[in-house]
Amino acid sequence: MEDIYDNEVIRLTLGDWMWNASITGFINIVGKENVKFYGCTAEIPVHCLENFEEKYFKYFIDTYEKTLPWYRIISFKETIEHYRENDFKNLNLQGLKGINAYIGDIAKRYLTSKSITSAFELMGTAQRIEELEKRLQKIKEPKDENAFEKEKPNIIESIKKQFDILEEIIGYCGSNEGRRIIGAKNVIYTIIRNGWNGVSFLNKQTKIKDVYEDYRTYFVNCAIDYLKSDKNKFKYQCFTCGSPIKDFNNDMGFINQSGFDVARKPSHVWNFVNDIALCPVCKLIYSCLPAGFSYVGDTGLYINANMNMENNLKVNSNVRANVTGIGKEQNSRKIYWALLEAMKKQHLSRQKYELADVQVVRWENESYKFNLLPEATIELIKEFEKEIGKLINTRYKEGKDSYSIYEQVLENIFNNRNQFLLIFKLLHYKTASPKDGFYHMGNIIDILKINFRLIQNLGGMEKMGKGFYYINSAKEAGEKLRNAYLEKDPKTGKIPGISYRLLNALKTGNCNMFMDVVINCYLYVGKEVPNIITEALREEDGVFETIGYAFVSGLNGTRQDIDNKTDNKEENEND
Amino acid sequence: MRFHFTCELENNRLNIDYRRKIVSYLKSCIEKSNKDFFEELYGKGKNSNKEFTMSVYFVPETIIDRDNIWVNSKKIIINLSTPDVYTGIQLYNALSSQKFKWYKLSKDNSLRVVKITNEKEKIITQGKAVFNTLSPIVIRDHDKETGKDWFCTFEDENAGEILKRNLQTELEGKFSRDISHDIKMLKIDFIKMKKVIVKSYELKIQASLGVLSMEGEQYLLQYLYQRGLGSKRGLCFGMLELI
Repeated sequence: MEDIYDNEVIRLTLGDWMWNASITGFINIVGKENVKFYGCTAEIPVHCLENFEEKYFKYFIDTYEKTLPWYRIISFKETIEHYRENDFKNLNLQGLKGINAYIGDIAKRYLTSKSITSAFELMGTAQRIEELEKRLQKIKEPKDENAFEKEKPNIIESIKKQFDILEEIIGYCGSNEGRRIIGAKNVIYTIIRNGWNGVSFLNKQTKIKDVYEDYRTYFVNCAIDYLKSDKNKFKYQCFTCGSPIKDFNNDMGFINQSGFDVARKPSHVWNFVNDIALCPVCKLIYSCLPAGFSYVGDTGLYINANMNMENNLKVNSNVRANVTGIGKEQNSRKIYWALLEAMKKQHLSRQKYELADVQVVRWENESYKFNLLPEATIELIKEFEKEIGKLINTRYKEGKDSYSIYEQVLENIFNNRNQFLLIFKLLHYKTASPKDGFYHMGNIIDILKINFRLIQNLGGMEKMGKGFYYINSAKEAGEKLRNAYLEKDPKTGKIPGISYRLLNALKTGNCNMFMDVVINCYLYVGKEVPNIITEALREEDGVFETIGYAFVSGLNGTRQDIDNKTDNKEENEND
Repeated sequence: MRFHFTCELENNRLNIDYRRKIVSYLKSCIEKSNKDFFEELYGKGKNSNKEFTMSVYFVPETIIDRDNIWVNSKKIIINLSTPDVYTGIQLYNALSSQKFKWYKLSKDNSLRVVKITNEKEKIITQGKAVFNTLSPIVIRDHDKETGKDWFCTFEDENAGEILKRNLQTELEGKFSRDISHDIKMLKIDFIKMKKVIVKSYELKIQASLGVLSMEGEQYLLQYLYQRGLGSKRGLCFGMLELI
C-alpha cells in the first residue's frame, strides 16, 4: 500500500457537467493546496485518499455548519451564558417563551429523532442522553407579565435546573466527537442525499453503523484496492475514464436522476445487456458530487465553467460563499442571488481565452435543470441589477400557492423567454384580484425594461433605440388617461374594465381591438390620442406589446390609487 | 374605424360644391396637428390613394336647389371610415384638436366640430354582403394614353369591370399576398340605384347612389366596407354602409 501512496497520482480531466461537479467536489474535499492544475486537468496525489472519509464529512460539516440541526442545538449555549452572566435579570415572559420553544421544538425534537439517537449510540452516550431528555421539561408559562413578575424567582429556579440539563446535553453534542458524528448524520440527510442515494450509509439496510467506516469500506477502500491491483487481466472498461475494470458490478445506480438500477431496468441499455459501469476511483469521485454543488434547502447550484479547472473551482467557491455566507433567510431565492453574484465576479475576472457561454446546473424539485448563460445574459443582469434587486420581495398568489416574481423574471432571462406572459399575469391579477398581488406598477415597468433589452439582445425591436423612451412615454400616456378619467368622475369604476379589455387585446395580439378600446377611451375624455400609441402600430415584434403593457401599467396607476378604487364596482365603459 | 364628426354651421347656406370645403377643412386640421402625416397625404406632388372615405349628412330640415344647400338645422355630420388604424387615429387627432374652433368655409359661413363619436364596425363573415351608399360612388374610366377621364354610372355595362380594374391598381402591394385573382372573382351587382350629377371643383360628375351587393372573399368585402368603393373617396365619395 505504501508504494502507491508515494508516487502515484490520480489524473482528472474535465468532462460532462456531472463529472466536473464531482471533480470540483473531490478537490474541495482534499483541499486545493494538494492539487496540481494543468489547464483543464488536475493531478491529485494518491496519498490524499488517506483518511479520506474524515475529510469528506469535515468538508460538509464545515461548509454547512450553520444550517445543520446540530448547530441549532449547540448554539443555545450562548443564550444560556447570556442569562447566567447577568443573573437572569433581563428575563421576561418573551424570553421564557423562547426558552420553552427551544426545549420543545429543537432540543426534544432532535434528541428523539432517529438519526441523532443513532449518533449517540455510536458515541456511547445514548442512555445518558435519553435520561437527560426525559428530565428536560418545558417551564410553565404564567398568563401575563404581572403574573410572571410574581413567580419570577420560582421560574428562575426551574430554568436553572433545565439549563443544567441542557448544558450537559450541549456538552455532549458540542464536543469534537459530537460534532464529528452528529454533524455527519445531519449532512447525510440534508446535503449528501441530494447528490446520491441508496448505497453505503444511505442504504437503509446497511450493516455498518459508523457512517465513517461505512463510507471508507464502500468507497475509499475499494478505490485504494483497485489502484493497487494488477489490471492486466481486466477485460472491461470504465464508462467514465476508460480504465480497465474486472466486471460491471459498479453501476451508476446510486447517482440521483442519472443512474438506474441495471438489474431491474435493462431496457435502458443496448440489447438489454448492461455495459455501463465505473471503476472504483470514478465511483469515489462521483460520491463527491454533493460537494461540488452549493445547496440551500432542497435546491442546489453548480456552474459548469468547463474551460479551466482552477477557474471552475473559483466560480463555484464564489457561489458557495454567497450561499452559506450572508443572510439568515434560507430560501431558493438565495440560490439565484448567489448565482448572480458569482456570475458578476466571474465576469470581472474573465480571461481572454475563455468561452463566453456558461452552463448552469440547478437541482430543484429532485431533478436537474440546465441553462446556458451567454455573455449577453450576464450583461443584461448586470445592467438591470437595481431593477432585479427591487423584485426580491415581490410575489403573487395563484390559488393557494405564492410565486416569487424575482425567480420567474430570472428564469425567463436564463431561458431567453420574453416576459410578456408574466407581465400579462401580473397586470391581470392587479385588475382582477388586487389583494393577491404583492407588487406595484413600478415593478412591472422594470420588468418591461428588462424584457425590452432581452428582446433587443435576441435581435428584435432594433429601431426603438437603446433608451426607454417608448416605455416611459407609454406609461405617462396611461397615467394621463387615468387622471383624465378621475377628473371627469372621481369615483369612476371604469378603469379596471378598460384595463381588462386592453389586456385581452394584448394577450391575443389584436392590435385593432386594442386601438378601438383606446380610441373609445380618448373619445370619452375628449382628448387626442398621444403619438406614442400610434407607435405601437409599427410592424415589429414586441413593439405593440411593450407599448401596450406599459400603457396599461400607467393606466392602472399607483398602488394607493388601486387600493382606493377596488371597492368601486366595475362599470361598462362607452355606453 | 368609423367616426362621426357632428359639426355646427354658422350660416344655413352651403354651396352645392360643399365637398371641397369639407376637404379643405380636413386638410387644415391635419396640417395643424401632424405635419408629417399631412405631407404623407397631401404633400406637394403627392397623388396618393387615400386610405379612407367620407360622407356628409345634412341634418334635416334641408332644402337643396341648383346652387345651394340650405341646412336649416345648421348641423351636418361628417362620417369617416378607414381600415387603417394609424390613419384613423391621425384623422381623429386632427379633428379632435380643432374641436369647438371655427373654421371659415367661405365669406359668409364657418364650421366647427362639436361632437365626435365612433361607431362599432360590423364584421362581414360571409362571402356576400349588401351595401347602401352613404355618398355617391364615382366610377372613373381613366384612359392612360390620352390621360382623359370618363365617368361612368351603374347604367354602363362595363361599370363593374372598370371598378375592378381600378381596384387592381389601387390594391397592388397593399396585402401580404397577390390578391388579383380575388378581385377578378369579385361580383358587383347594382340592385337599386339611381344616377346623380355631382358638382365637384367646377366639374359635373355623374355618379351612382343606392343599394348594391358584392360577392367575393370575406376579407375583401370587409376592406371595401371600411375603405369605400370607387374613386375620389377622399373627396366624400364612395362610402358604404352594411345592410
